[in-house]
Amino acid sequence: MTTPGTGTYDRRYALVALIFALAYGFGGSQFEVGFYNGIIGPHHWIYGVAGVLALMSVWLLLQPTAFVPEEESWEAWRKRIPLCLAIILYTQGLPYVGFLITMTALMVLVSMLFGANWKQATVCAVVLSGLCLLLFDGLLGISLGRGLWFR
Amino acid sequence: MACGSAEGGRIDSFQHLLEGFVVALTLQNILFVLLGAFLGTTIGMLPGIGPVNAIAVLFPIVYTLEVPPATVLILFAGIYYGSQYGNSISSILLNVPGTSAAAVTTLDGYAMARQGLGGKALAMSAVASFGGGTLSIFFLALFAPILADLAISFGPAEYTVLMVFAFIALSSFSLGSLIKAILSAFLGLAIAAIGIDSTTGVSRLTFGMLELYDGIDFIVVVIGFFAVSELLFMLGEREDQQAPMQPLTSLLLSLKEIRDSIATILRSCVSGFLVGVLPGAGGTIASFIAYATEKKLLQPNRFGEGDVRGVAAPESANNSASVGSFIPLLILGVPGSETTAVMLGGLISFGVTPGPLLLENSPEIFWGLAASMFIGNFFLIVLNLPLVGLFARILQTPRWVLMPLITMLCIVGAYTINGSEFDVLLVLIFGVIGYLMRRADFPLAPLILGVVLGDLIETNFRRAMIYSDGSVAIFFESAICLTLWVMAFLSLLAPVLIRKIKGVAQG
Repeated sequence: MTTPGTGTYDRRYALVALIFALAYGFGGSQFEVGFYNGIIGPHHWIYGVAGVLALMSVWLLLQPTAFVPEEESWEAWRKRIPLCLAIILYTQGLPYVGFLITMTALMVLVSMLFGANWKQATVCAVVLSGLCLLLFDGLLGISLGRGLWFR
Repeated sequence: MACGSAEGGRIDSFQHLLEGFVVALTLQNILFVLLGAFLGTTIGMLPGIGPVNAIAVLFPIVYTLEVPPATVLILFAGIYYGSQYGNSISSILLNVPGTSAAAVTTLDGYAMARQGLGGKALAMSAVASFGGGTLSIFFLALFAPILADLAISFGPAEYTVLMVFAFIALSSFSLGSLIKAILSAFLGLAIAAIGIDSTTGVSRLTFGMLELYDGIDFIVVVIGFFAVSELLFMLGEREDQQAPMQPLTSLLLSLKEIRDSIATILRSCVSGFLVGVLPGAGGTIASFIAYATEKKLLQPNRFGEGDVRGVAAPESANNSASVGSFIPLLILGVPGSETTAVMLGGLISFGVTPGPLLLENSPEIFWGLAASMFIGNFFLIVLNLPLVGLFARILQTPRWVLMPLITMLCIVGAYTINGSEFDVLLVLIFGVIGYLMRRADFPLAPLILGVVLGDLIETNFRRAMIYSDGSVAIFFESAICLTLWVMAFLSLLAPVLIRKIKGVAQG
């Protein structure tokens, strides 16, 4: 038994999980299957997984735990969102400008998000990206992306 | 007769173990043991990168370098048990356990450090880890072949039930809400089902995206859910939330302290190994059980106020448990923790299928690993005590250096799997989902187990259904299946017992 309001947090997650389960099950009905599927075909497994996910979501919706996470400041999200955006930008920039420039830029930002001033962040970013490139591309022969513009 | 064959089995085991030394003592393997032990110690004590992340990030590198599977396993195992040593350094000096397995060590370790006995606590932690880790390797050599003989009779139905048992055990032992753990496990299975179906060749849930045809690599999932989610967590923490680091003092233990701790180390090693063998239980529960047992057994004691045996018990137990956890991984092909789940995924990628036939088909992998653990434990005690000052300095690395390094390794680790930016994006998506799940108290270990075992459980389930012509009775027919169901049911009762044990340990 939970007191009114205490299960709100779990219920939100349960609702998201339920929507995901339904979408997943629907996705399982959308692909074409071959002429031989065995007794349990490739879509049945998807239905099974979606079914259990849906069932457990409903259970959590009806019987949420009293768990309430620690409150978080908006300040933390003001750091997380730039990090996420920077990683997305990294994936978009990498094919064009290559690893060294994109990673150095990303590292400057990450370092500053964790409290460095811009000088410390720049030194840290250049050293780390350079060492990483040297290790992977130079010594191990693993390409980290050279970029179309510098090929 | 039976007695004779058991003795013969023991002789065989030790003969194989000696042959394992031939594998482990090659220059390449010795270097990898050293590297694993050093990396493991460093990683274990740093917040934000546990052994799971380290193995996930290193995996694409060793794969590209075409390192032999036995050597890869030796490296990963070195990181795994090395991290247990590393954990204790931050637990004792900073009161910050690197992972939950070292949480118990803080009770007496940090108390000792505050009394100016941090060096003694670290020395005892190294001695107990060495004792527990080394002795448990003998247990591994003894019991693994016995279990392999039993597991050789497993068919698809038994394997399916075994994996169900692993899921239930891991979900129960995570000690939070069972419903959340099941949801987490099925989310893992849902991710694993994406891509080409291995039985029929049909592409599932790929939405026409070429990048998804081969499925989502488990490394991408691990880096996202563990490493990136941890980064997002750390962005919300302030650096001044940490306790001040205690100064490092003399490492010399008195003869009395060693003598008093020997029985504790031995008992904790045995209990730790037994807990480690259970899928899902792992080092955390092993260390709590060992600590609670010693606290009850040793009267009078100063447990909780800085008793050196309070450091010896959890350290011996969690190292022994990490060795024990290789039994379900290698002999049954069922990992018991997130770290061994990642190792399983890695071994499968190398074309090695862990299971009862591993001892017959690739004995060099199993016995080479067992022998390398001896060498690794020896290196750890020889290196760690003199280098503890260096490790303490690494602990003081500012976050603005450490976190960019971790971010870079995550991104590079994800990118090098297929040389694709798409995997980096997936890592970010999984990181955000992982962060939100952790905030809502969803355990992530069942999810990783779901991703790693998803294909295996589906294939075995479908095979069993073909054999039985669609009857689910096949999962309840054999004695092995029934035993596994009973064990699964019993593991559902485990949380109640563990909460009691934790209560005793803490107070």
